[in-house]
Amino acid sequence: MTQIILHADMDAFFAAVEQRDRPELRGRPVVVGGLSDRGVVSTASYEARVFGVGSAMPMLEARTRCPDAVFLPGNMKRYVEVSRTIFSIFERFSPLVEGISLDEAFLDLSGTQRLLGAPAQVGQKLRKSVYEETGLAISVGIAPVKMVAKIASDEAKPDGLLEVQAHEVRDFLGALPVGRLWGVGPVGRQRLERAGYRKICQLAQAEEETLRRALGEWGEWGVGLASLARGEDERGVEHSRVASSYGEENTFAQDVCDLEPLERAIRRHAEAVARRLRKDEKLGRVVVLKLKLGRRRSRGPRGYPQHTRQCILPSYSDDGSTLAQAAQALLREFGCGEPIRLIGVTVRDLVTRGEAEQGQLGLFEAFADTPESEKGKAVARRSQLNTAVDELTSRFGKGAVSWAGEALLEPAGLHDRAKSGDTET
Amino acid sequence: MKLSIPQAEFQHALSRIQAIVEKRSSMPILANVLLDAISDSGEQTLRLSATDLEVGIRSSHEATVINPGSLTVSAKKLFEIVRELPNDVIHLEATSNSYLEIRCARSRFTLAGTVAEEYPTLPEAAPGKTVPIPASVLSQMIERTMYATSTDETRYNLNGVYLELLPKSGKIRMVATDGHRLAYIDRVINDEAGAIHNSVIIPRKALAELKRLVDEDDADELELCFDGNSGLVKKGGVILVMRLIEGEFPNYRQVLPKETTHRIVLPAEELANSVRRVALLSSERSRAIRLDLSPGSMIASSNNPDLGEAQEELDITYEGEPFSIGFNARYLLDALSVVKAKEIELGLHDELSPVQIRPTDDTDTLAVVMPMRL
Repeated sequence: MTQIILHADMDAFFAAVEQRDRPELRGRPVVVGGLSDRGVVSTASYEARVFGVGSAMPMLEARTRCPDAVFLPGNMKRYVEVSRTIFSIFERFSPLVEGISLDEAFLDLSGTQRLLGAPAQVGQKLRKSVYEETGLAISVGIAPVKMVAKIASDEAKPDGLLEVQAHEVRDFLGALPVGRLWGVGPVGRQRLERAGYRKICQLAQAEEETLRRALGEWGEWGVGLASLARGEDERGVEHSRVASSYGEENTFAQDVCDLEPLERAIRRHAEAVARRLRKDEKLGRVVVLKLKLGRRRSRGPRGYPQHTRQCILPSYSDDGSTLAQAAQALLREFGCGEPIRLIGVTVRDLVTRGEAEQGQLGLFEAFADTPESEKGKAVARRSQLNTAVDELTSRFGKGAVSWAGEALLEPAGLHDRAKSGDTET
Repeated sequence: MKLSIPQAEFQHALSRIQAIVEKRSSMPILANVLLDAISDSGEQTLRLSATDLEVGIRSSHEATVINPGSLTVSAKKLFEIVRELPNDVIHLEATSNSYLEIRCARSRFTLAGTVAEEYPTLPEAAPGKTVPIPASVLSQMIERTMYATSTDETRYNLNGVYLELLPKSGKIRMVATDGHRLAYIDRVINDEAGAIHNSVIIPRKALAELKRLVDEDDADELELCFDGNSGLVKKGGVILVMRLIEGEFPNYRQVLPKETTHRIVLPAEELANSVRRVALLSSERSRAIRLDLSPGSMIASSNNPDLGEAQEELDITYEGEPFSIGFNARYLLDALSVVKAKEIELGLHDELSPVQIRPTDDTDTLAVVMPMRL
């Protein structure tokens, strides 16, 4: 049975919420993002987009392009609230909703025709409900393939709806540039263009052998893309995604060279990741340190050399100090000395608390004078401390108690970026 | 350097060092093999050396040496070439700019090399007193213990097998543990075992090389020698040198189970087959299986919410109270697969105490596996 997938995407979400809440901003260019010189744009209202301002653009550039815009630091808490309302509306239209971010989701409409009507009608009804209940505009794309639904909602913007039926998929995709395909970033696009593939249709029609030859070591990647280009993608809508990694990172307002402030930043991120792990009753075992160097290698946001280093902990952990120590050791191993622009800590290989406790017993743990048993006691004490800290935080708010040395350096953005990885398959 | 050597002998020698040469090393020269053509008072030999700085092999082979000299070339490429050559005499000659010319029958290769002076010296073991040990004994000792070593690099003192002399019985013992399981084996070697006066930890990679050496067809008796932090093993014209792990092996004696409430005798292969089948549906991460014991029967089972359930019943001689215990199936299978006995005895105490696995016909060896919490 062919799937029917609806992709719903709020129009200029953060900016639209600001314009809704503050009528004086309506009709004016609004830019939400990190306001320091090194911040980046989170969302630009359509009025600002006319001036060429877009997401992920350095704030400085946005200010040059559109000096008259209203620049706002944003209010995450508010956006999360609105997002909850929107998702509760989504759930009225499909039992299967896959949230991608605060303002974007896939809905599975397969088999709902009899109950709700034709997909396009469902889409219009959903748009109407969102507008009536939140005062915000949303665009909708409908297609038998996830990626096509997403591109369709993009094409429908602003405040529109576009349905691409199964027999229209190839024509719809064909005319678009290859950069619109999932998994093709700026680098991938260049690679394809150099091999002579500019339009999606060229890729869709390419012979597998020719493609392999043209792309060399990237042949396998290209063959996968070609089938995506033909709209062959069976991925369905997945119930709320299970994160396979938790991470926190920040860009510094000024590049940092010294070990000590970097270690403090690591400590801060590690504690934040650990708090999220404990909140979700998870433990992780692989610690990844991410570094972006301040010395630019080429133009564009990807021009800063990025490095990651990782290590495996001896056992699963949700303790900030343990994670911080591992990441700090990775930093020392990396040997800093060069100015660092961005630092991040991510934890992978997650298990639930239940899984971790079900685990393997150790031979040496029961014996008093072994390092293993001492370690066990320390872990237990630390876990009690974490429980107490979590309780204080939940009662008095974030930052009520924090570790000495977890101090804040001035970040460039409006907040540290909390990230969750994709589902593990 | 100019010499000739029979193809078969050369191929065998080169295949022996393939696992040692580093594929991705920060020192590219470690991917090379050092060739030394030696002509010493009538004795003409080709000496091959390879090392990764932790383990090294040096072997001497009869050859016709026309000009003595040395050169290093890629061990992998040289092996690949020699392997394809006919079973005939191979002529090797160092030509200008450190090239090695290889001629055999109607084939001719030139292989880019590096001067021998740049090759690191192998870890040397001082000529201490050596202990002879039968290859078959050493092979069994390694097999019974090496699987239980830890691969966790933060616990480097467990990354090898501990070798010690048991002064009372005069036997030598090898022990390995990764903190979840443990295995040991005691063997009498000969009257000279006393020469092993220091306990040592032999790293896993060296053990793997040693195992390969003792399992070669012509292996009969080897000479063992430890000195400071290095070890040396001699088998005819082949010398294996290794750097030992410096660190303290944990006090493993205290974790050897003292109480055993239940002893169950089982056909080893039947148990291993059951565990292997049931493990098919265990969770991929934990590999957990469950054993339910009751008078006369043991039920092995597993379940995985994503896949389903598996169950298998074995008849056993068990008289006690029913109880259940969980294990990592891989740990059980590792221990069972190296026992190579018809019958084994499982020693159990309670659901939180380790199981002991031992062949019924050999009390000088034991495997211990900690359970999993169910």
